[in-house]
Amino acid sequence: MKTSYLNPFGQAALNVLKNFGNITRISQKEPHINEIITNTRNQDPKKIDTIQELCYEKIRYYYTRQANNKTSGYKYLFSQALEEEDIISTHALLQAAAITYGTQSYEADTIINTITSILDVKLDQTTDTIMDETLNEYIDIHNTTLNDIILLINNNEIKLNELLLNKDKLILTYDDFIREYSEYLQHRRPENMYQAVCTSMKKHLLRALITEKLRNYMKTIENKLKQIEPATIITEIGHQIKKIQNAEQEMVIKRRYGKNVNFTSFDDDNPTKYIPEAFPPCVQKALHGIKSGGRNYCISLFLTPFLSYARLYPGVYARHIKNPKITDMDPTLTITEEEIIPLIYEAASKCKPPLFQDQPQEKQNINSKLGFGEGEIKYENSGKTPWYTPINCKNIKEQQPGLCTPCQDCKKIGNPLSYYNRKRKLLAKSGGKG
Amino acid sequence: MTEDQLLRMATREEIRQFYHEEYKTREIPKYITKNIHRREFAFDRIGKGPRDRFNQFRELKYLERTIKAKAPFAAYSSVALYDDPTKRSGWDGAEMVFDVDAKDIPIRTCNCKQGEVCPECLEQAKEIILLIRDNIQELGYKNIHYVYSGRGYHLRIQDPELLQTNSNFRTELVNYVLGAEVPELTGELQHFIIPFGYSKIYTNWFKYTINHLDKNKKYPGFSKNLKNDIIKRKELVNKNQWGLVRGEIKPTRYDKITRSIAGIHKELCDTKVSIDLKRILRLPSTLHYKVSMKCTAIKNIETFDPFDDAVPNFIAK
Repeated sequence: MKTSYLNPFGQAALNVLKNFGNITRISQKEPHINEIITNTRNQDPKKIDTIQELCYEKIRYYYTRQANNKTSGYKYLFSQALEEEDIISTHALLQAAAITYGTQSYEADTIINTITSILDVKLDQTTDTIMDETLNEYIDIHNTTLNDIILLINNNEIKLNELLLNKDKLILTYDDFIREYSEYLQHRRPENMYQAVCTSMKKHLLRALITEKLRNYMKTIENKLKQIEPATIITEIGHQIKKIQNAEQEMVIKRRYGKNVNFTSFDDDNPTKYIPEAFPPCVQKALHGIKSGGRNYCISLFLTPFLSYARLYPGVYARHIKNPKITDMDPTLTITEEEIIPLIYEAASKCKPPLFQDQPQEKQNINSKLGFGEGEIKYENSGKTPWYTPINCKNIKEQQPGLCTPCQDCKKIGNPLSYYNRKRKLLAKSGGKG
Repeated sequence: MTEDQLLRMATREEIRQFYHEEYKTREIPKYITKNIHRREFAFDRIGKGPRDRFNQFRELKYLERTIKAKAPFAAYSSVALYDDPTKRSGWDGAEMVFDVDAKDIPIRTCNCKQGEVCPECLEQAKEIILLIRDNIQELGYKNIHYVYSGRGYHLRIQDPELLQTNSNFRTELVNYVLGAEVPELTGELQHFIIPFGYSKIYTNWFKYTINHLDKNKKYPGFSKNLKNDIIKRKELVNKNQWGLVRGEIKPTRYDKITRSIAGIHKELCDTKVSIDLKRILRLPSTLHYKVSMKCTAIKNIETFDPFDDAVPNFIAK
């Protein structure tokens, strides 16, 4: 096994790219691809004989894995015999997404996720030595400090508590591990402890380093686009990314809900038009504005999560999607900017005094509650902070008792969003909207 | 002097008296005065929060004149440096802050009412800030300053490599230093088996928390039985008999405890303050009128006693 099995940017991988020749080759038939797939253990034959088709298969693999379906039909993607094709297809996908959609796009994210999901499997199949060698292509494993990798944490690529740190030094090698911690390992086998503690950390770190490099590579490609005309074949792959995305997303919905996808108008895992008649009394009240004293709680903490989830993901409590981001539901952010934000701002302006008049910084707080961190409502900022879920009735009663004026329908309901979902269905049943 | 007399709200007249008679800007620490022109200053002029914001002072004497003239209910300065503080534009780094407020400690051992503080919980706040300090230093950070805020303590880290970090990093650092997440370990490993790295930090906080649980109080994530079961085994925890504790409580319930404990750890300091890159903090040297104590830059945290070092004259007299 070579480091290029994991790292599409190491010297060995760059040599593969250099020797590949003209980019148009990726659409030419290479019969050995099919042969390798057929000869991969437990692998059904597939008619994939171009690197271009391999690119598309990678995206399909990602969606299959996302849907928690069997991925055994894609074992060949991790075959070392296809290492060169793997490197070329990885670069082709990155270039195609960066050129066609830009680095901050939903499509670019899909490609990054595609490549890292394949990398995850490969990391599990890799020896410690190869992992160390690959890490060494990015950092000095004997001498790396927290400061050297601070950007990875800033960019959410790795968690601080996944790292083993002694002072600010990262402990990655067995020698360092023994030197620092042997006194604590008296009743345990040091090799086993090293494996248990450091191997998963090294995987996380390598994954983070490669992911960061993937993003930087895309940025470089995007910048070069100003000077160089992209190859037609790369643009073609770019367009195909979107087609596969759409087809696979449709499949995910069908797998989840069965063939008759329109069996109900209550697809609570997807954006759903507001039914204002179904809003609970507290939301109705908050939409009319609140007096000074409870404005921040009412607008930023209460109304912002409610209105965003009610419109984009009313089924959040079913937890089909873990840690959702707004852009998972509204990739273009059109609904957020044109429907949700205006409604929140309107309620803020009805407060006495109007909320933004004396607290303009609350706009930022609202963005933060929607998951955009300190930044503006932009795709690239999505997920910087958690997308706050709606506050439950108990909390409202404790924090803002004036807001809670329960009606008959509030009985047995613990959260305003549950009220809204139930009421929508009741209204639809009784012939109202739904 | 009784506690009631010490930690009471100051009158408007006492606030004016404080700023006219005993206020000294030389008590503002140098790390603020040296770049005073790059910080935002804010004032609470009517006792309803810092609504007078976006102020800039190019020299210390102008700040002093303003504070003495306004005799504000509270005064604040930003942890961030700006090219133009009046617009909060040109952000150029921010100190990383840990804010432990005695009234918000989830495992207070005193019997204070909600929102109140007493010498006992103030002492506990100091204890927590010192544990945070130890964990911060374990990561190699050295440039650490302390401020007594009036109702708790601020720990301000000013190591250059930290100033430019974003909210993601700060969230991670808070979680790490407070042991606010259960360590994710492979296989059968448990946090107490690994006496180094993040697992050690989590385990130390675990012990601290268990030792401060009160069987008569409620804690989020703990049913009455679960709480009593772990309190009963406090001594085993202190003797590091973890295997026994986990075995007696049963692994599934023990896992629940680890998660609930992590939740408590996260509440030990105000996380919002730590991750906010444009936060304003009470200005050392000014008065915390709600408790009639001076917000004080601390020279030696080990020997600092707020009731010796942060009592304004109008109370001391």
